Amino acid sequence: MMIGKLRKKLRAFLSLRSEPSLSHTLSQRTIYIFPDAQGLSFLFMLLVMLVTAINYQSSLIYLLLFSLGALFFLSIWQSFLNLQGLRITAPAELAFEAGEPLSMNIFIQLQSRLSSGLVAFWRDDITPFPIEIASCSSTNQQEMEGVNDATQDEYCVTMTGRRFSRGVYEVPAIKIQSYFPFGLLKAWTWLRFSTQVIVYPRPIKPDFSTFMAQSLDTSVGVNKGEELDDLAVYAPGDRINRVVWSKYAASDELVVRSESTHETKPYLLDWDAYKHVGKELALSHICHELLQACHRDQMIELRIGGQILGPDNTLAHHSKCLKALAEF
Amino acid sequence: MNAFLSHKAGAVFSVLLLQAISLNSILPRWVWVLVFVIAFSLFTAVRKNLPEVSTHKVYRTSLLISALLGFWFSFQGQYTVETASVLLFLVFSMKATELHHKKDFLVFAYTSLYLSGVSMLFEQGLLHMMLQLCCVAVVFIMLGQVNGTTLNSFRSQWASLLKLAALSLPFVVVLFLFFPRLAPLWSIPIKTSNASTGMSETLSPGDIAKLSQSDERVFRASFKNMRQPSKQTLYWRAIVLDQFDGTRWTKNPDARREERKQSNQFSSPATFEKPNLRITDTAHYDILLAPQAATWAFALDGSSAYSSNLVNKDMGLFEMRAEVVQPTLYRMTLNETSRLYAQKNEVSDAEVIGQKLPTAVLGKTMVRNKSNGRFDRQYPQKGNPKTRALIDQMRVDSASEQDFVASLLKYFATGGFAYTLEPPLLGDDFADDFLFSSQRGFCEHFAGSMAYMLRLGGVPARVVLGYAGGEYNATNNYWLIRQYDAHAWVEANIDGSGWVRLDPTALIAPERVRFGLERAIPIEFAARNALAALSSYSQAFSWLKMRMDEINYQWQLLVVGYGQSQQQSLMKRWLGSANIMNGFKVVGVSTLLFGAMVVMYLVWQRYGRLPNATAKTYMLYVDFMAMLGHPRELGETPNAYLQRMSANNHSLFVRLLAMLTRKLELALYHV
Repeated sequence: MMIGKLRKKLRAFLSLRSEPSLSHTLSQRTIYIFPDAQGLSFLFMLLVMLVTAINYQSSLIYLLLFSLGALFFLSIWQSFLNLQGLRITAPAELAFEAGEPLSMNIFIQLQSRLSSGLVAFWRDDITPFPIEIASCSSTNQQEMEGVNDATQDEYCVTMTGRRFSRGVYEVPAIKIQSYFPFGLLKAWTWLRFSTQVIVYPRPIKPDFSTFMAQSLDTSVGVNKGEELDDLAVYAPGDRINRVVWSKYAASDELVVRSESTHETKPYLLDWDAYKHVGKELALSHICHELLQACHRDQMIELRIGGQILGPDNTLAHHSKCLKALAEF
Repeated sequence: MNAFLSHKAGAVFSVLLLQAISLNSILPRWVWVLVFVIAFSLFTAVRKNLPEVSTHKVYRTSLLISALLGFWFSFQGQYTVETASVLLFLVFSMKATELHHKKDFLVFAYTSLYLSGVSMLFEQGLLHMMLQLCCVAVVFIMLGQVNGTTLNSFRSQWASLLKLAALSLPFVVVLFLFFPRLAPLWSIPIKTSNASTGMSETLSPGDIAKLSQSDERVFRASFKNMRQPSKQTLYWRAIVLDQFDGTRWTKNPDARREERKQSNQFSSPATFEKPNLRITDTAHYDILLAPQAATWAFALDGSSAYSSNLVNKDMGLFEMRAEVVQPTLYRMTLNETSRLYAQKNEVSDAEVIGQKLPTAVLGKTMVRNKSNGRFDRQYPQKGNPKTRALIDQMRVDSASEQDFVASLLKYFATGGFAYTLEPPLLGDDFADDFLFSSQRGFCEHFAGSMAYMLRLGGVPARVVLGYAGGEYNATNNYWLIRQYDAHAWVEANIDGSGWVRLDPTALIAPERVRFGLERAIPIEFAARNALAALSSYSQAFSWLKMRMDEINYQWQLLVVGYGQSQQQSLMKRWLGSANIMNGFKVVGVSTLLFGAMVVMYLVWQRYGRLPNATAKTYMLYVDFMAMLGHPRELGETPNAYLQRMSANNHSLFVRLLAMLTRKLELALYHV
């Protein structure tokens, strides 16, 4: 009980020392090193050895003892170096549907050194996420010549966490820990990321037959069909999700839907049109339609809770809409 | 082997075997069977690539029971450090059969590290230390493996370990030199058995000849503040035997009781400093004793103990205060007369038999204690009729005790005796058989019979056991004394004027004391001691042997022999006082220094590789800005960073940054 309280206080103090941000560079301000049970028992063994050396006046036992002691001392620095200079970056925003487990990619950038045995943990969770030094995206960033001559390798770890219900959250703190080099010392750091976790409602396809009673807006209808005058020949730079693959299959010709098609007809998603099915279901329906429209890269206008978002078809707009749905 | 070791069970296998090898000297033979059984199961675990070593419960239990039974029958409840170490080793090897969890590995690893320490109690050679360092290295690699922090390749594991070791070396040296060596807290006998070779406290014919088969090192001596003594004056005294029963010379238990009384008086509190004796200009010698079963110390005539680890005993003998389980260093001072005597070469003071005698035969001894007539004239009332008759005749013919001794020496010099390691067996009348029929003997025959004859003639006499001569190493100025230098000689108190040394062997085989056993009886010596004999013939081999011994000597002198008194004199020399607190201060300061060194290394890692001073200053300043809470973003160029900073404020910090950025651009692009 006492220990639990103390631990909470300590943790509060420690997290004070790191401000939430999207990326952290580990330094002496944020790295903590302490021997855990394993290291303390090593020190106890050294103490027993010291008593043996004193008692039998054995120079060689002293020599061995001091060598082990110096290794222990040096491993403090080794474990510090192992974490120091690591740059850990989290995405600015995470969006996933309610009921899904949290899943976040964190990117770890090494300084020229290789770090070893890193493990990441969520706060209040004991599931380890080993950070394997096997790159999932290795980038060589050319910086100003000479100032940062080391090639910086970036590694990625996917951390999955607990399930969330609809809402907007702050991402839980992450602990990065290592027992490098000999397990005698635990080095760790607490990182608070300013990543926004948007848990949007679970998308459910609306059954439009229930909407018949409502006076439907023309834009509720979805597939307008692909009219020929909407098409243009593919030019490099065109978005790949605009390619009309049926045309490609038929004629070996890459054609894309022209940008103007949907811009002129924004898809209006109005809370009032859905609210009759109940709050959560309505949000789920809107979310489904929203995602479909995103998929089609259609202009969207969302009217919910008195605010009007859009019309727009940018990614930022999509996430704004999703956030609105999550928060509502 | 690399792939083998990078497997956890492979590391365990190696550690187990290395420990068994290095503890071999104390392990009973049957333990090896156990070790091989366990090692086999580990080996198959590696071969089958099993993630952990799991063995059947029945197998484990039967191993455990047989280990406990074996231990019980081997030691039967004796409690010494040796038995405790064997038990620890058994526990350690049992642990190797049940390594399932991280905890098991840790217990195994830490026990191994402690065992490495314990093994130093029984073995102090340089090779042993290297073996143990290998063992420690493998344990640390295993610790890395267990904690999942292995570096990519096995080679880089070794490389990083070596780097660490090299980095820690200066710190280890300082700790070793200055960490205060405290006095022992309690004492438990270390050794269970006195199995080592060496002299015993009795002398019967054949005892010393047996030692001639061993080239084991007994001790090394180096003389300071004096010219090297000549080889034939080096009579290292260890034991005095003053009771004769007709065949055997032993210590007189009554005399021993008195001796004990005296040694109690002598044992003063251990003080290292003797203010009235300035060692810097006193002739002295240091003796580095190899581990031995007994506690006697070796000393020349006229020596007094300087070190505090020695006790003065009766009859000019010395004893170590503690068991000699590891190489032990002690210092003796030599008085002026003995120094002059030791440096004299060929002739002795007295012309006893009308000719000048080699020094060895008759040495003036410095031991001035009174002869106890009752003990020193004792001889058995029966036996040896011929010898008795001979002595009676001699005694009648000589005018004085001096004359008697002279004619006795003449008898040995001219009696046609032969010096051999293979004397014929003697009957009950030892002296009669030897003097009148076989006439072939080793030093114990000559010394034993001469002391007996002196006593028959009424002259107090005794047999002294010790070593004579030694091998001189000119490059390092030390004498190496081996088991085959063991020797027995006589001391007599002629006319009550003090004890003098008489060595009949020097009369019969002068080469023995002048050049050593290997020259006196080369063929017999070679038959027993092929290696040592080879070195006296082959230059190259002898050279190699000398160098090996030198390394060993330095190791033992500087590292193994470094103890409390050496530390105190070092601190006195370097720090001015031997105060224990000084040692702690040095250790504290060097810990800080060492920490600072590592920090400097870190700083160098960050800034040292930058191309020029401007870049270094810039990076340093950027780090400073980051500490203020304005870090440079990843991939942000200095210019972009400056723009972002100056958009917010125009403080002095930003102006300084602007200046540094400009300088950096100038330095890098010359714009």
